[in-house]
Amino acid sequence: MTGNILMRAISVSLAGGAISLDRTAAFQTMVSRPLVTAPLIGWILGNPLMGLAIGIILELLFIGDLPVGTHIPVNETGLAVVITSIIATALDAMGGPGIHEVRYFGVTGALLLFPPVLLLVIPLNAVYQWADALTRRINARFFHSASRSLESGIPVNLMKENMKGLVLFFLTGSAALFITLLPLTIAASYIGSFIKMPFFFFFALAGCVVLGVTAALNAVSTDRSLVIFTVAWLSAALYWVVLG
Amino acid sequence: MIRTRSILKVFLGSFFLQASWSFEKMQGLGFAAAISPAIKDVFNGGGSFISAMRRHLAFYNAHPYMASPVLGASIRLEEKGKNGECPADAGARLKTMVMGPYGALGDSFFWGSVRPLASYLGVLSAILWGLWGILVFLAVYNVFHLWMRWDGLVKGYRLGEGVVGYVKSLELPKWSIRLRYVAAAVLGFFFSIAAFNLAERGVMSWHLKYNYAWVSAGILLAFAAVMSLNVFLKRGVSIARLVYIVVVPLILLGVIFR
Amino acid sequence: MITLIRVDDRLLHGQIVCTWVPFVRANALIVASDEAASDSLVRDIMASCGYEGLSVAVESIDEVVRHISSGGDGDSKTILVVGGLKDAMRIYEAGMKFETLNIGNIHHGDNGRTLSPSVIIDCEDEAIIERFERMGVRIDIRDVPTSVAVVYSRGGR
Repeated sequence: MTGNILMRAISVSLAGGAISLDRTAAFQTMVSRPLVTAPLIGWILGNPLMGLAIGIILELLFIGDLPVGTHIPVNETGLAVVITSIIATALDAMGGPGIHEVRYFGVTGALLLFPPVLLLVIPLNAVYQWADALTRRINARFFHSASRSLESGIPVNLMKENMKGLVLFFLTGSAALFITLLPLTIAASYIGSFIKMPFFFFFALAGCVVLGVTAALNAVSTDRSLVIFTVAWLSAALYWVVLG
Repeated sequence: MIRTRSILKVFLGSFFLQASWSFEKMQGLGFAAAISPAIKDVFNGGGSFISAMRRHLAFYNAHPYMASPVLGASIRLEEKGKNGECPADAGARLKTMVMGPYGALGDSFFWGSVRPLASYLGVLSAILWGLWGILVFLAVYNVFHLWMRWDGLVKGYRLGEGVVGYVKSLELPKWSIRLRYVAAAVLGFFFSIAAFNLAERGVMSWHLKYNYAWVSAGILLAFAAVMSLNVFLKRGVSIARLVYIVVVPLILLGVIFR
Repeated sequence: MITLIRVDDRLLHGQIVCTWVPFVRANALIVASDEAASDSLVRDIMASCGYEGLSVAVESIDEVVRHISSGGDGDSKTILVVGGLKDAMRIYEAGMKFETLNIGNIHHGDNGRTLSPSVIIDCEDEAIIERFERMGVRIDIRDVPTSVAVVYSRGGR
């Protein structure tokens, strides 16, 4: 069991570290957004649809925090990796056939664990941001060493120097994920073995969705966004009513 | 003469613009690393190549995709500079001049508008068609992304300092606002479906008699909640803190009325 | 009305347009910099960041002082960006008093003191900050509105 957990934490951390490169270091194709990251991690752990549901809520919650200049936004990639991984582990520990598919009044059971796990992992963001900031301080060295070579007229492979930063981003990112993931995965596997799916988290889950929509609305605020949002919401709602 | 191969290398290099992002020099090294293959072609290597690279290895930061038009224009200006058609440092000067404004343009267009729009389309598709939503999100977003990376680079190289006029003609700020209008509408549709589902399940879980009145009340409650929480966000309360303010009482409420 | 005065050596960039403008609901942005104002291309590029709902202007320090003290910006909500603390002090001494000064980005590379990742100040800056504090101006060191403000403390170097 413990060996299994260790392997799981290592593989998820490495995958998460690789996906996290998309945030800053390379590509920026948005595979590091929770909407993609959470189902990917879910797929590694055998439940992509649960990951998708988690991804939707996280995506909306943190869409408004932008990587502008020196500001390092909330690491929603890290949060997506850890939350998906913890919930998948807890579900496996609960055991029983089809535990991943159990629904309560139509809500996927796994999703009910989302609110308490979210509260638990938000503080971990500090660890991810610290690792990120550390990398961004050390990276200046690669610039300076390249600069010194050029100043003394020595040709230098700049892309090679540049890529050292990428390797550093990967190492610190994966390490930060691993040290937070390992204890939480172990805890989740023990706790999961003696809890039942608590439906009373439903209200909190609804609150997370509502808050996510609010954050998303605020992220596209203009003088007319509120009106457009309301009209679209109302017309769709009336459409449902007419459809019955 | 610059080989097509080198332009392709610059294009690929632009994806690693931020590989060594640092607080001190930001994208400085990444920019120099990306532009290096083309500059090497301009000067056929050697001492003047190294002194050109010295000019380009400097503090730089803008939106990562907006580096592409700047890369293209800088290459053209280095070429012109070598032929004596403009000062040798024209490329490096242009870079410094546009980086702040292009950060502003790119951040508000790509981060502030395209990303939310693609995201909400993805989220809406995901609750309708499941995992296909991921593909919708990535496809919509990356059409804009790859367009700027490639077309920006090519136009920049073709136009030299004229790239400034080209970027201006794109009217990115105007489109930022329009895309946000569309994003707000898509979010409204999503919220309509989400609120309906949540209200229905809330009514069922509370063992209330299932009828329109209860479900409608639930939907309106969700809408009212969005409007009031929006006030807090507008005042600058961080989302992480707001999660605790909202979720903790709701967990307690759920435990009490279970 | 000026709603925010910010020191930023990168002048106009993403942090200002994407976070501060919506936060203070500004509809005008003035970049006060003698250097930028003297270059018509720079002025043009910066102005192109504006849109319906946000006007962007680049003016020299003297122009700004004249323009603002004559009530030239009417009832618009304006963000004023200056390139350094010296310029902020020049504006203050010219009679445009303000209560709070936001410090966003100052990069004095090698021998500066680091207050936050984006604020690295030298001795001259320290002297100006201390003068501002003595005159009762609140110093607010933040890159974006949602960041926690760094408290300025006298540097023992």
